[in-house]
Amino acid sequence: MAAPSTPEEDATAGGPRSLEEAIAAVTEVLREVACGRFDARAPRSYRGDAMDTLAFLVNATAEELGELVGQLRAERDALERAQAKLVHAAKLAALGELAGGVAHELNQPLTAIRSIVELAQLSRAAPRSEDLELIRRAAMRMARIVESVRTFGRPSPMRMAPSPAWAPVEAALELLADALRRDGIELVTSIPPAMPKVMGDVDRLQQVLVNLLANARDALQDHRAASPPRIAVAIRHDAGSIVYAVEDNGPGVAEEHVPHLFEPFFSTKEVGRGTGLGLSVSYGIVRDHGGEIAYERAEAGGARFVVRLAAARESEP
Amino acid sequence: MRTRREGRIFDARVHIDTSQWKRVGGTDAGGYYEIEPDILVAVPREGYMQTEAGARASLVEADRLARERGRRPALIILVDRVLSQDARSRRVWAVEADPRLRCGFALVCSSLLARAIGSFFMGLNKPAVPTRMFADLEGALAWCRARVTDHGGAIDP
Repeated sequence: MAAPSTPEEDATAGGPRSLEEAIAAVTEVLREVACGRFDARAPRSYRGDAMDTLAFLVNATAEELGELVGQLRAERDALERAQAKLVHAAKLAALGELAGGVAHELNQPLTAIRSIVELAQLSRAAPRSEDLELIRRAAMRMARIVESVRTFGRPSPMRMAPSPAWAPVEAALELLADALRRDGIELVTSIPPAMPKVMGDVDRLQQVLVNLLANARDALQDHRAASPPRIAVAIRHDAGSIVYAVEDNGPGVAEEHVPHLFEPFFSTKEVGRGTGLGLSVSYGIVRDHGGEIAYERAEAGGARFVVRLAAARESEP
Repeated sequence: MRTRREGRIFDARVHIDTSQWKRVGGTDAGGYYEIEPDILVAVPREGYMQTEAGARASLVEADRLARERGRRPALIILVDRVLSQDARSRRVWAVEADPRLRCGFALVCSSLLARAIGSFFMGLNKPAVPTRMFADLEGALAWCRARVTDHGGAIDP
């Protein structure tokens, strides 16, 4: 069996045979570096003489420059991503303020409409009751939209407290588990028995989980896949954070829609289904918890939403 | 002395007499010797070319020697035997060498190439461990003695 090769055995033999060759090789490396190509190397004789030392210096300089430029590019990309997130958050905050103001103004006329309709329904002289019922339902739906918008724009103060990590999931499933079963959607949960507590407002976090589960349900209802529809909810502890993941085996989100997912009123559903505010409200709630929410494409092609929140410190009861 | 190996020629630039030193460890790169209490010498094999894996193995061995003794030695490195060192191996020494396990690096660089290698070692990615370059072993030893006196001793638990 041949012995494994050493770096010395891998080194190319020879090196420049004359001063002119050596200078030409060094010049070529420097020219490549000037063009932004940092992997050029001058051949070395490994004699340790002046030309060999010059070749080492030029090669090491090119190598270090390449490493530095690579680091700078990576840091610049990270900064640009962080900047884009900040801009996005600022836009959402501005939209939230605007939406909250509009919602407040709409609330009063909506309340008046509902009152009039409900009174009219009680009257024997009322027009067709089906029309009145339609108006009443429309007014209620508008009121729900207004409430969502108001919550998005001006949420009430949060009640932060350490809570069992599974509490928001349990609360959300209490609301939705039956509906999922009726739709023939398999629900898979992965909740480790021993988990640190999560620091948060359980009611608000329940709202986030309800939004994510409802979106997953809608995605599966619209999509006829070869495999049975399934929603998976998982919780894990990761380096001081509690991470919730809600994943479906639906079609996933189209690439062109991903940048807009958390924008208010953005919806991929048909008109009349959903307010387009669920994810933006969830984004706001998670942000107010100091956490992160993100979309990923699941391995099987469906959608996965991941929420990362701070775990409660051990000293907190 | 020149040795021929598969058509390649290496110069043995430095003959090092280690007969009076106590060998205490080593890796594929070469040996570690104790020249005085708390002063170690790293003697690379002839024509050594260091890469990231080699640097890490040498550092792990140096860490082992320090922990075994429970003391922070000064380490002299005889760079004249080294033919090259790449950027990633320099980063190993710069980032992963724990200053709590040693009080100094002394690079002995008497040849032109060794001084070039040593300059890069101490340049862009300077180790957190105090490092100096010397033209000969005597200069390195004098500095190491002072480092051991002022900054050596037992490793903090």
